[in-house]
This record gives sequence, structure tokens and C-alpha cells, in this order.
Amino acid sequence: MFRLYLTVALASPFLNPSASAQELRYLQMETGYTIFSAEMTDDENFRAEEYDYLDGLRLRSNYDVTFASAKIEVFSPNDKWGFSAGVRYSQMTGRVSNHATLFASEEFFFYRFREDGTTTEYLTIEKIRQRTTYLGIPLEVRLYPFQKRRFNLYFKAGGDINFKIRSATEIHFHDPLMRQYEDELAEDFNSPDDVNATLHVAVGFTVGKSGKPKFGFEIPAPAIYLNPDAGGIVRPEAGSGFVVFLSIPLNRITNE
Amino acid sequence: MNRSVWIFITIILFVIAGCDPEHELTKSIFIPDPHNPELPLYTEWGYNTFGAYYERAAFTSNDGDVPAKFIVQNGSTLFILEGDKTAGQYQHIRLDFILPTINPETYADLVALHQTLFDLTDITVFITIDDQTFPAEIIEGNLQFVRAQHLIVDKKPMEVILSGVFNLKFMVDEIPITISEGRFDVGINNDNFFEL
Repeated sequence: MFRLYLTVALASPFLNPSASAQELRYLQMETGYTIFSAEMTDDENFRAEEYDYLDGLRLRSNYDVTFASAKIEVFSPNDKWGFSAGVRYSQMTGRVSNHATLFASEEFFFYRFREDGTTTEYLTIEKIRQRTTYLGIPLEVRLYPFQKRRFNLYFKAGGDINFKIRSATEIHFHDPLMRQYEDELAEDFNSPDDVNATLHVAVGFTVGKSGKPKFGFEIPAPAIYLNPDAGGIVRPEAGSGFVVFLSIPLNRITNE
Repeated sequence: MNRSVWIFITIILFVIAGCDPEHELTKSIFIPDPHNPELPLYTEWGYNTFGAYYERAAFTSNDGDVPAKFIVQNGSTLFILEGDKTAGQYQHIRLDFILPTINPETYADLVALHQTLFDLTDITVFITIDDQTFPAEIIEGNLQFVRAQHLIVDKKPMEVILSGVFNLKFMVDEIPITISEGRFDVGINNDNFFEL
């Protein structure tokens, strides 16, 4: 299944089903940011207040993704459809911290570090941040219902598959002397999956003449993670963000 | 210094006090038991809560009173749970269990209570309801310290966490009363351990 995806992803921008010379091709460079609400994947060793009517600890957890991609977009002969694929470099960050307010709440939480017979050790932690870098392959299709306008609205559906390059867990201790336990403690936390995949839809627009460089902006609807534990210490739920991109034509059309 | 500077300093001190792990551990964290939501869930985190049904009404720790104390005096060790019954007629209730066989010198010695069961018909229990204190005529009951733990926070000893369960039936003015589903999870340190 994965090999099929990879083959389609890499080959799709270069497929030429109509054998027409009229198809537009663009090099698309994009960057984007998405933030997700998230819940902790394992809160067994966290000591904190709980929500009164919700499951879960009163800790702040979130997940965000920053990415940059280079893609080739190939248009259908009628310019209504754009198919794109390429490579994506992304950094995904999962965070857990306490709900600190100005007056009352603490700025740390307790983590059960060790238990041995009748002795239990807690560490006070202000924040855990797990950063993971992925290299991925996006595969997308755009529908442009209004053709050849300077301002062009589109709808997009797509997915991506991402491969982990590296991951690191930073722990901010309330007592700086406890930093000596950072590596040992980091091993306690769930690690992000080596491979993750998402599906998403989006709406956006491009500004620029057909066949000329175009600027684009899009708002993605919440992405769906196909492997829910992709986030390591947190499980991403709903989220949204934005994407901006620049499209540079790679060929010229003759009918304009 | 003008008044606003004093207010600013007070706020800063308040915030700093709120950041102290020892202070945070003395707070009560009430996590409802999914099966008996009026009572705290049985936990072993040192959440400083207890609860039980006094007949049909919940009797639980509150945010104002220290939920548990140990007093060592004249060779007796007193374990006190103090809280409120808010359903029906409001009553302030205190249970005093006089524990035999342990003579702690410091709060740290209380870890000896780990996995200890007391048959309450063998020990003395005082009950205080509002301002009236009387020895309970125990029909049956027990007090079990399920777990006792030395708690170390950031490599510094902080307290002993005592977690356990209790239930008892006793007579008040020739009327039998039941305290059931009792559970506690309390931290004991120098602030609530007294050797008199």
C-alpha cells in the first residue's frame, strides 16, 4: 500500500494522460502552520488537578506543525484540476504545561519519577516539549471552479505521509538542579511514531494570471491523523492554521 | 514607599508563595469518584482529601480545615479526620482514632503504618459533631492504611502520604449510625504532626 502511495505521489505531477502540450505546470513553494488541540497520551504519572466534568488532568497540552514544501502542480487540460506532489519538511511539537494564572495557580506540576517500596519521588516540571522533524511526501488535488481569473478560489483535498528524521524531548524543571535527570525522564514519555500520515481538506485562493507567478493562501480544515498516537506525548485532535505559497510556472501555454 | 508599590510587592510575594512545591502539596485536590461523585476517588497521590457516607449524606474534607492531623501525647497516637456533612442538616464532624502500638517520633515514622489494619472494636474512637464530643460505642468497623509513602520532591523529603479506607457502625444516643465507603489520601508533615 505504501509503495503504491509513494509511486503515485512521486509520479503524479509528471503523468500526462491527455498527451496535450497545453497543461500548465508550476513549481510551488509553500510554508504553513497548524495548531491542534491535543490530549495527553499517558497521564499515569502526572499529579495535577482534574477537570470537574471532563476526563483528563487540568494540564495544558497542544501540538503544532510548521512545515515547508516544494511541489510540482500539474493542471488538467481544462485548467479545473491541479494535481501536486513533492517533498515536505515539517517540525511537529507536542507540549504539556500547567495552567498558570497570575495569582493562584502554580506554574509547575508534579511528575512521579520513581517508586521504590514505601518511597516515592516526584519532580516538579514546568513544561515538556517534544520536537520531531519529519521529511514527507504530500499528495494533493485542487479544484478550481472558476477558471483563468486573476483571483482564483479553489478547494483542496490531500494527504501526506511523513518519515521521522529525529526527535528530542526537552524538559523544563522547576528546580534547575534536576536537569541532571532530563535524559532519564525523557525515556519515560511516549515517542512519536516513525511514520505518520494525515488527510485534510482546505479552501484557498491564488492571486495572479494563469501562466504567470501566483501567490496563494489557504485555510486547512482540521487534519485527520491516520495514526492517532503520532504525536508522542500528546494526541492531536482538532486543529487549523494557514498555508501561504508561491507558484512559479514551469512552462508556457500557447493558447493565451 | 507609596501604596501602589506595597500592593505590587504583596502581589509578587503572593505569586512566589504560590510557586513553592511544599505549599502546592498542602492544597486539597478533590477528584470525584465516578461511582460516588460526592466522595473523592480513592487515590495515593497525597491529594489531602477524605470522604465517607455518614448515613446517606457525604461527609468530606473541606478547603478550610486541615483534613488530617496526627497528635502524639502521653504515649497515645491520635489520627484525626475533620470535615463537613453538607447534605441535609449541615454538621461539622471530626473523627479521632486512637491508634495503639505505634509511637512515632516524627512524621517520617508514620510510614510504619503501611498496610496496617485496625479493628475499630479494639481501639478508642471519639466523634465530634459540631461542638459535642463523645466516645463512639463501636459495633463494628475497621481502619486500614493501605499505603504509606515517604514523599521526596526534587530530592528533598516533603511528607508522608497516607492512603486508606475506613468504615464503622456505632451508637449515638442508642441510635445506630453507619459511616461507610470511607477513604482518605492525606499528606502528613511537620505542619500537621504534633508531639505534645
